[in-house]
Amino acid sequence: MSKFMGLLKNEYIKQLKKKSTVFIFILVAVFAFGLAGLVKVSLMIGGDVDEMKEKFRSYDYSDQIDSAKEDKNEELVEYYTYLQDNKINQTNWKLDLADVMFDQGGSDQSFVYQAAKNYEGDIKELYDGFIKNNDWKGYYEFIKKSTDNKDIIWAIDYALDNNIAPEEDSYADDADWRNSVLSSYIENSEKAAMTASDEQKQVFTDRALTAKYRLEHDVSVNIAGSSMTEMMSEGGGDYETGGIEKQTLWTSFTSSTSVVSFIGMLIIVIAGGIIASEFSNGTIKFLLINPRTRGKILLSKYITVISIGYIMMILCYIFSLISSIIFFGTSDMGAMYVKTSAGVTKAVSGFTYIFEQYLLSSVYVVVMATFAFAISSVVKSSSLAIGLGIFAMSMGENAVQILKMAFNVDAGRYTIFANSNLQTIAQGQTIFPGQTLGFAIAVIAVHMVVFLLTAWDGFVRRDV
Amino acid sequence: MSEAVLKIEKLNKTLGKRHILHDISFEAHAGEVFGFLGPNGAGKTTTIKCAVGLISIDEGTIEICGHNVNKEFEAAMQNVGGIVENPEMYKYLTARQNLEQYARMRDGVTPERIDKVVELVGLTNRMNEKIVKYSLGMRQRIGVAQALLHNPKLLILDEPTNGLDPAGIKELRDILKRLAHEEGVCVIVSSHLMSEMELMCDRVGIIANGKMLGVYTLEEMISSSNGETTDYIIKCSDVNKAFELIDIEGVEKNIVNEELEIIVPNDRAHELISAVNKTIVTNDIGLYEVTMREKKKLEEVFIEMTGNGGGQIE
Repeated sequence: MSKFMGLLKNEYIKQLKKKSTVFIFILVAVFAFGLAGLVKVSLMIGGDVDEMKEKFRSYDYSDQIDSAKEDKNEELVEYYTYLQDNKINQTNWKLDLADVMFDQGGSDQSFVYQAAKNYEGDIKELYDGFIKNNDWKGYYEFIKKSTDNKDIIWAIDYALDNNIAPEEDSYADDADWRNSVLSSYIENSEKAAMTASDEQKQVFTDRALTAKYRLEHDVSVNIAGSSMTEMMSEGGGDYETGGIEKQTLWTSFTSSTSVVSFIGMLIIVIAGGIIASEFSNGTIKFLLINPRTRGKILLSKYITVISIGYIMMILCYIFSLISSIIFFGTSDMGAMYVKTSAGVTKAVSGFTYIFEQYLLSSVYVVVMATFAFAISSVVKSSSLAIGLGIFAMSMGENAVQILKMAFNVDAGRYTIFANSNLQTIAQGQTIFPGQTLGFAIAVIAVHMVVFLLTAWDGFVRRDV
Repeated sequence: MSEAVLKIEKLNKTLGKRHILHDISFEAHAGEVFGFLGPNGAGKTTTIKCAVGLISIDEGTIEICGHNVNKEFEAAMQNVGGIVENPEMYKYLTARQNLEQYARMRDGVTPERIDKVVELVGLTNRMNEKIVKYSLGMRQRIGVAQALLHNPKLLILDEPTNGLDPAGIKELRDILKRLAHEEGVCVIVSSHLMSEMELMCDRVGIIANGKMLGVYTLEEMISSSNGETTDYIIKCSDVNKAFELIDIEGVEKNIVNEELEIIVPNDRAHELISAVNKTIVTNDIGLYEVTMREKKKLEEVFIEMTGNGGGQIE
């Protein structure tokens, strides 16, 4: 064993004393460090959100009143004047009540409207009372009495038990996260009940379950869907499960998983050179006439490549955590990843979740590094091995996608390119319908065996 | 005879369609410097590569200290140190870092041992320089140091004097002789230069066109090349008269370039040449010079044997 450790140490020294490897490590560090800054800057550029928020937070309705007066719309004048007098902005819980009182907007499906419809007394007087006295408990009790919807009753009980007053300004800095999660819970439960499509129903049910989990387990920040890419594709933060849409260190930390593919390219550079360079420098003959079998030497080289990859990923994890903290502060360190799919809620700490993401994406890196390693072993040319490795890594998936879309080629589903990105497959974003994680793992296993046997044959059995 | 450290039996190797080695067999022993001699392309390096497991063999067996190279690679190679072709090192590492690489791949090499071999090859003051700054001669030395690290019983050096200056060659020669004769190492040195072999080898194995022509001690080679007779050249005042007068049984005489050539059998050389001298002197012919013609150089013998005096490489 110590003999093998000696081989590993040799390989590490050979790699780490090379200027190119040191440069690669610096690149990863800079990239990991710079990413948080980039995220911060890009969030600052997207400043429109704040402007929108300010508009929603204002209860100065003089413009609306003036235009309603011009239109001689007495009802509207009365409505806006009421809002202005009672300081009800667009994010205030009282808005729904006012809407019903003045028959303005609001969905007739909403429970506030339904409750009003079934009320036998003067609804305007009742709601006015809730608003003027700030009697949210009375309002909640009233809604609770008027409905037999279990979800609403659960949510109201939760709010009453925990003494959570609804927000008068949801965008306020001290807004209680539980209110938005509660409304997400109710909203998604209602949508689930109303949707006919099974698929859609499941989506809403899952979101409601996620919201419920967060309330029951006191998860103030949910990082599900909070990376930059997910924010772009799914419309923002943990909005879907009613989180407070704010920038936390997780916004940049989750984005750092994208660095893994960058690390992949760098590892291909090392994998492609680790065997070929011994041949091009002529040192191979001195390496192989030692009392160590070629199999052991090959294994030590492979382990070196893969372990350097994982070391880089760990460094990237640490660096991007540190830089995320520097740019975004430590206030939300306790955030969790909560996501429900098909009724099963998965909840892990943010650190664990990102670690898992690194691990999942690392599989792709390992497969491509092994590919470059095998080529390096067979053709003994580092430039060819690196070129092919990077080409396969960056183009393989696209090629399969293009073949599928342009020529309807379905055979691509059996290739490594369609199966090695476990991170996206685990999220259900597959290129071909019906791809599963199990199938992907089988395809990866077959390819790895082929690559490693090729590398073995090229290194152990050939004449030097 | 001492134990065989390297034993090659009926080694055959084909590369593509070319049959490179035909039934190569020889033994090299502890305590000797064995010269492996052959013209370029004869199969020296191929044989050496087979011996250290760099290339596979088609037929035959190679044993180092009783361990089959192909079946017990690690045990066999623990006894081998060598330089195959050029001494290439990791250029971006220092000489010491390079030696440490090899030390970790062999058993029982201490830091003190590294210092010792470095001193032996005279590089003590240059150990912390990167190899990229080394001259070919210095790299050859660090290659030898690398080969000696683990006290191998068999030292194989492929054209080790390449790139060394004359002083360096002499130094290396002395090191190799001392290792063989005092420390009992079996040293195998390949070369295409007979003159070099002459100065350091105890035995020489000659290979040409992938065939082993024979293994000889230096004395055997010299006498086998010179045959049974010795030539003398005589310069005198009257060559023709002397030629006519000499009539001794067993003496062959010729006139070459106004000089008298006398050929006598080795076993009666002294007796017959003094008789010839006497004949010349007693007949009043001025005798100026009697010289024994220089024996053939080993170089010529070698070229004769390998039949490759400037011929085509097969």
